[in-house]
Amino acid sequence: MNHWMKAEKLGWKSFTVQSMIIMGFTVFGLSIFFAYVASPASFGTFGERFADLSYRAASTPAVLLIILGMPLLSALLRIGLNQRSLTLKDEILLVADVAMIVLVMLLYPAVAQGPLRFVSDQGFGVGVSVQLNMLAYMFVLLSVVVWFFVMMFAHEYMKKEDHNRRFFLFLSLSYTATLGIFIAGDLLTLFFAYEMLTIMTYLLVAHHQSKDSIEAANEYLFMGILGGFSIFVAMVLIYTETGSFMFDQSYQLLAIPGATPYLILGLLIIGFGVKAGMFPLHVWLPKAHPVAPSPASSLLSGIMIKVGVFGLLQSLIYFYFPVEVWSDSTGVLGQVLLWIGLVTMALGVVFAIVQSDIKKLLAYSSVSQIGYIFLGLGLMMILQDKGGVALSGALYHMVNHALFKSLLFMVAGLIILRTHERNMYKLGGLARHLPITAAISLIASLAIAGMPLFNGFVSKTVLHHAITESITYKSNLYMVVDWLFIAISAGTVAYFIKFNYFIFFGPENAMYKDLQVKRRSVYLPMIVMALGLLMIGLFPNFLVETFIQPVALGLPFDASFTVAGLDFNYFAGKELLLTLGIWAGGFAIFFGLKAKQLLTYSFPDWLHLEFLLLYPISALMHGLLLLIDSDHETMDKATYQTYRMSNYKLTFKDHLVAFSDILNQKYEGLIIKSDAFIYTLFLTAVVIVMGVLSFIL
Amino acid sequence: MSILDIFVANIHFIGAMIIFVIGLYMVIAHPNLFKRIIGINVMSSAVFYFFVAIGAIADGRVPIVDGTLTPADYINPVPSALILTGIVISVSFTVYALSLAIKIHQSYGTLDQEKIVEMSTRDDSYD
Amino acid sequence: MISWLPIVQMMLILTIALMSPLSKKARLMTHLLAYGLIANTIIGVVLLTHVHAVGPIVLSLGGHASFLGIEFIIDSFSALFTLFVSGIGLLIHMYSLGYLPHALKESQIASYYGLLALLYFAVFGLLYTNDLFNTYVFIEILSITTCAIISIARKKRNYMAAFRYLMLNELGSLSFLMGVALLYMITGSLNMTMIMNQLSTQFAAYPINVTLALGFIGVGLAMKSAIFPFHEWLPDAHSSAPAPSSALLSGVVVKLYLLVIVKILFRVFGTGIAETLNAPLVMMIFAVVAMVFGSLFALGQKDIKRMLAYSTVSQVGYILLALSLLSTAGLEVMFFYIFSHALIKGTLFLVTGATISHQKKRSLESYKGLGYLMPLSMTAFALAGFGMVGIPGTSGFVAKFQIATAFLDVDQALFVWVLIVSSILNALYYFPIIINGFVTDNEGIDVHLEKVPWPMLVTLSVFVLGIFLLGVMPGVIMPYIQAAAEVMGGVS
Repeated sequence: MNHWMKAEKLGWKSFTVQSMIIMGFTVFGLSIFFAYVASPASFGTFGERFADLSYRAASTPAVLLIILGMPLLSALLRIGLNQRSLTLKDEILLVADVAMIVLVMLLYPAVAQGPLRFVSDQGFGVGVSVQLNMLAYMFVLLSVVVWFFVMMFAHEYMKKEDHNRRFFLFLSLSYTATLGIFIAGDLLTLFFAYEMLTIMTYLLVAHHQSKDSIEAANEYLFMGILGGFSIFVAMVLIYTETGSFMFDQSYQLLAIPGATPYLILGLLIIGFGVKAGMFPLHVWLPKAHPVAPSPASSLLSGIMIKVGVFGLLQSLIYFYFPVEVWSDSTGVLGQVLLWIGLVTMALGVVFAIVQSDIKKLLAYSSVSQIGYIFLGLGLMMILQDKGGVALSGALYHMVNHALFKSLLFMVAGLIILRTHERNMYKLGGLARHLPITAAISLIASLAIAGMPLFNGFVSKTVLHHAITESITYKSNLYMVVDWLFIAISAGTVAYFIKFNYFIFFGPENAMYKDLQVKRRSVYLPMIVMALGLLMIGLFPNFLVETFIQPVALGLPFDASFTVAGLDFNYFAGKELLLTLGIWAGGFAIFFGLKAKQLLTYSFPDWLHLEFLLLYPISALMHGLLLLIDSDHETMDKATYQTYRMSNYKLTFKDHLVAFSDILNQKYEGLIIKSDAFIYTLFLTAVVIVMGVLSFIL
Repeated sequence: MSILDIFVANIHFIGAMIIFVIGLYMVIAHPNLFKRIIGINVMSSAVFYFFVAIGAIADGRVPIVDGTLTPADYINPVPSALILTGIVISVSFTVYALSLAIKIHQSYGTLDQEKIVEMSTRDDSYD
Repeated sequence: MISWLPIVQMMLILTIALMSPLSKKARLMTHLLAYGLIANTIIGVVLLTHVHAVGPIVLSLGGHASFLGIEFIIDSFSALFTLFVSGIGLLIHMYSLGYLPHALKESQIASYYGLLALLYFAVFGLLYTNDLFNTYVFIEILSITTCAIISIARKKRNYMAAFRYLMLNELGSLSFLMGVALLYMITGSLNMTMIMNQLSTQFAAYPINVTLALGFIGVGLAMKSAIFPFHEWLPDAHSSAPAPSSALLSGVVVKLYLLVIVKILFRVFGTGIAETLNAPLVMMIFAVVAMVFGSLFALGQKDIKRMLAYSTVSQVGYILLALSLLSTAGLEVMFFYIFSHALIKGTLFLVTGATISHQKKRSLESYKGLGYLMPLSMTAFALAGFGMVGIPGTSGFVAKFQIATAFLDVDQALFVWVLIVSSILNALYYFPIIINGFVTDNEGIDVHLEKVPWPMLVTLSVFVLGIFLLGVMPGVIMPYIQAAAEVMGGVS
């Protein structure tokens, strides 16, 4: 399977040319679509006919189901055509995705008019439902577009990998699951799609089947299942309290007395936070991203962690937003989210700065950016009816992060593909050999770090405005939040300087002086995405007016406040000055740390989160083991010595295995031997109870 | 009624219980398979005894109808009839258990349950 | 006319059982049993729809008055479960067509099917009967036949396992009979409905008798339904029995004894007395212990069939937990769980049968990479494993969800957490097998569909389809389950 070694001839049959054509059509279509979205009236009769078609399509769930089923169909088709060329097979996926983009575009006028909702009584005993309101629509559109670009990238990347069919099959199944989560109309359907997603993405993470991959995937699966159970309990509680989990009216759970609503929200935060990569449940992220193939990492970080935030947002909207009046308790909930967000942001930044592995740095960066989003959600709850701007900031950041993070993972994937090296300290000066990659990396880094003219700046500015609002309207204490926000943004700048410096600039490593640019088709999606980042940065108000503001206006926020809050000039002097300060800070941090050799600081073993969380349980098991086996006749001396060593060298799993082993060896035989004896024991117990009773009575 | 009177009135039931416990003891305490089978037989005898004793009425007559006595004078024949079925069941169980014991003896060479368990965990061959 | 059907059912299967000595070749019995089970399933469907529409049928055998004679009651409960047993039996019979020729000698197969027919006869009788001593008789028939289908594969381990199972069964039956005797003492009748009428007055006069009776009967039936700590026979019995026997044992027989407990509690003692005697509390404690310890012991097992046996112990805990609510809602949950678990555990055991006969190995280690050698079987295993853990879309999820809501409805939130902990433990030992099976290197292994006899694949597919059907559209059987629960629970 060494096709990738040969240079691809450019011709009508080559993937590069064909994908250029497909890309051309798609970009053209999307541009017209966005023009329509911006001003439907200017399209005249075409616009009206399009709208009519849309209304008719939206009257049945058929279109939604086709969108859901398309990935699976294309994957099966790809497997079925196994003997054909790789180009054809991957193009099937691309064309299927384009079809999905067209269908999603078709639904826009209907969704703009009002949310779509289809409910069925059958299914799971209580019924399933799908819905498409503007919020869900935004994410569905984002998913289909990002998936398109990543698929195009994946063709090149996956050429040298094994198990292609399996990879694309499970990628498509994850796609269906993700879309399912976005269009779920009630908590049960969402839970179903959530569990499906956990299981389908397992094989993406474990793809390379190395020991590390499987370990990381097992941890991811385990945490996903735990999160699933958490949501299950929350779901059952909601069902018993309100009798349904439909997302069609808000229930104001906070009206129920006692601790139950807080318990439910806590469980939902844990359940969705696992998927989102929120502290302290983010531990799977930095392990899973490096071992997954790059297209999977892009999609994992780009779309699939947004799923967690989306689920939480839906739960907040439908169960904790007011029916009539905002409850004061939302402030408490908002504080929790806010501080979790801040800790996540800080943690991500600190760990990112000291990373040497390219993909781990990006993974921690994702953790950090999710923190920003949680910050926005927290502010939304704190600001109550004035929370429209905070929500908009969070949503905008979700969209932007999907775009630039998937792009960054594509860059990382390309570098690893060329150099087979994941340690950035061993690279250097690649800008000369990979100019396009370097340029794209720079653009994406500028975007995520918040440089004006790029999209990251826009969403961070909106979030910053939300913070300012909280200072103005709630309390001056939120200035602390403001300072932390600025400091962490500076840190973000710092680690992206590090990322680019060590890979592309800086002293060149002699090993790579023969690096050549071979393939071309990977650059196409990356260039177009980079242009997209630029466009959003140059016209920030476009997305706000067309998608984000309608979402915020559809929710019980103060409408005029939201509109006024979102209507500002992004290029005003105050913001630019602040950005300048942040960038200066970032450079200072980077060069300061570099001078002090702190860029490779590794934290002590005991500081790892898993150790801290699982230590009590491990210690308990350790204690139990020593108790059961105190004469250590079952464990031989060598194993016993290992167990006497520091606890955190052994994982929780080792303890569990040893515990069950010893339990079995010691007690199973004993219990089986004493079968009749146990019977006598219980019979005697019954008789004694009788004797006691008869004396009492 | 004094304790002795209660004891005498329910002597059958108390006796049955004692035999039941004896049988149970045999099952628990002896590792020999035959003894366990015998123990179960003893237990079943105890239960049957208990059952039949329910039908016993003081000063009851054997239940053969000859037209001179009222139904209340006879002892209850129903339990005895049921126990006939029970005895048959007990016999079939004993037959099966004994044949299994013979086969076990042929396979393992011993009838001692503990030794058999030791041997089988040592062999540990599942197939 | 329709009231003859239950008698036809039982006589048919009894006759088939009695024909087993007729021929040494397996062909005769295989066909007879197949036709018999098909006929019984059809009769079961007819009876179920009739009883659901019209009402229960009460048969007095021999025409004697109810206090002397034996009554058979065919109501929603018994009709539903006879259909359940016939259906599962039919599917497992289909599986045996492909499996047994490899596992047993030809002459044994005929006797095996004869024993199975007797087993089904006992099951039908057990479900229909309304008389306590009759229950004892059928329980004994059932225990002897189940021991026999374990010891029929003439290996050393089978003998010891069957012997031990037989001992404990006998212990349990005698215990049961003692309890019946104690009840007979104070009520003078063996008919369940009559006893219940009497007990409501006699309980005040003879509390010791009733409590002792409940104790004896409870412990006796607990031994047979493998409630921890009375489960000792289960691991050995399962690990040595042939796969269809294991599936039947785990999926049907154990549940049947639990259903007998239901009958006793609801039709003989009544929920009032049971609650006075603290039966729900005791059952809950045993259930929780079973759920947790069953899974804990399963974690450390190296042999797959033993592991599945301990998993059954754990699942019996779930069912007992549902029963301990002692209400119609609890019964609904319990019945659905029985259906769901029979399908799931059946699939798991039947897959191990296929794997063991294909690979000749049974340790957990041998499952490494099995997904490439036997993709269909391992996929069935994986899907059933998902059902065990409770992934939505499978019947296991619906069952667990129902348990959770049932307990929250009576404000006992603690059990929801026990449920979660137990499910996590389940995931801990099922997922590694599935992962090992599929996510390992398959260098040089050429993936192709395995050559497993087609009857086995058909049964596996039907079971898996059933798991998903019940998971996505439980409404298919819910009305019948609700009717069965009402018929039971509404009595007291």
